[in-house]
Amino acid sequence: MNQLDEDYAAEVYLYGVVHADIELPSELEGVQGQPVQRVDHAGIAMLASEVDPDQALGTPDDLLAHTRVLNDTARDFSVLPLAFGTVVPDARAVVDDVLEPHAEAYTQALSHVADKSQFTLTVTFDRETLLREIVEEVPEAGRLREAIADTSEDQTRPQRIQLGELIVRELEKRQPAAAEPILQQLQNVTADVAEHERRQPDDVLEVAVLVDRAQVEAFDSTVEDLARELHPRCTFRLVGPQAPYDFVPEV
Amino acid sequence: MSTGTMQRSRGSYVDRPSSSSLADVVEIILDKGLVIDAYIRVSLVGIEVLTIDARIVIASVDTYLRFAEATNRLDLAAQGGRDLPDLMSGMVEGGAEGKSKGAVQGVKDALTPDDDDDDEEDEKPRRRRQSSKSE
Repeated sequence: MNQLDEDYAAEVYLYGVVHADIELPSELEGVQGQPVQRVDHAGIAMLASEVDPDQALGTPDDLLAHTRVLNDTARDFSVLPLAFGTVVPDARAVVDDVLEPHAEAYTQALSHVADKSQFTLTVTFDRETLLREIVEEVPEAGRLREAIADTSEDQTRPQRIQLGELIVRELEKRQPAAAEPILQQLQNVTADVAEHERRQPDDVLEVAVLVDRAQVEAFDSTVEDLARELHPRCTFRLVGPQAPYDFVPEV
Repeated sequence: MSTGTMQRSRGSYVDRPSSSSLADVVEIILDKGLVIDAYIRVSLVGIEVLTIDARIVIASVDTYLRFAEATNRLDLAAQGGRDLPDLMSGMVEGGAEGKSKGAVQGVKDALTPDDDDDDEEDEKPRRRRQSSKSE
């Protein structure tokens, strides 16, 4: 991978921080299709690319390119991903304003994620299974279901809202007991865990985990076993390996 | 680009999408990572803001009505014989295909907010993006 000319005087897009002594693939394509280059300083390096001033920046393609550069790098090396959309005015600012003032913090943060990859696991209740369960276990749900049967939304709106509220409440009630054993098992095969906020009432959990590369197989088997065990009540979705987006420090 | 070595053979109960799908990137990664203060943060263009807003739990009247309708449509009579066939189809299909469709659909919905087609949503209501303004 080329070094970015230190006198380059136009805007530079930034991806992430790596150790300076690594051998990065020569052909990484960044935002706007620009080649990714590096800026080395004090044992660390910034992955960066030139910005074409005549081209829109911040498109979905750019977001994908940003992610691809970081995930591809993270497959083999430690990398601290920068938030999407970081642009500095020129090559000198990469060193003077970013790398130099934070060199120590970045080096430390890199050692926290050394030899580890992030995965993001989302577990969701199977809606049909849970609705069935709730209607069977909660008499009020069965009663409201009968009340709205063969009616239009206009005819039974209050009862429908009542039923919906009850379902959401019952899902919330069941969520902790479903999430707890999963989190516990994950602890044995992960180095760090960051729980995300749940988005929908039928989400069981969404969690980002940091996994030692040597433990990836054990982690994978654990997730697979959990998914088999909890099928069909819960569905599992695993994204990764990714750059450790959830495990960067606040610098 | 792909999950590479993580790919499992059929029969897995875990849905393993490509790391780089736009829906996942928006949901999981956007707004994460080191923030360099004082530098312009180019923002994402071309995706409706409601995609991004939808990343929080929204328990609105609309949500309640959707859950009620889904409950209304449950076929309780079919329940008796469901265990064996369900288990088998789960093994064949990998058990989690609906999820990824749902997530992708979510971004599609957000990209085309005018297309408010409820019939289609009822098929797979999971992960539907809901604008809070439609309450």
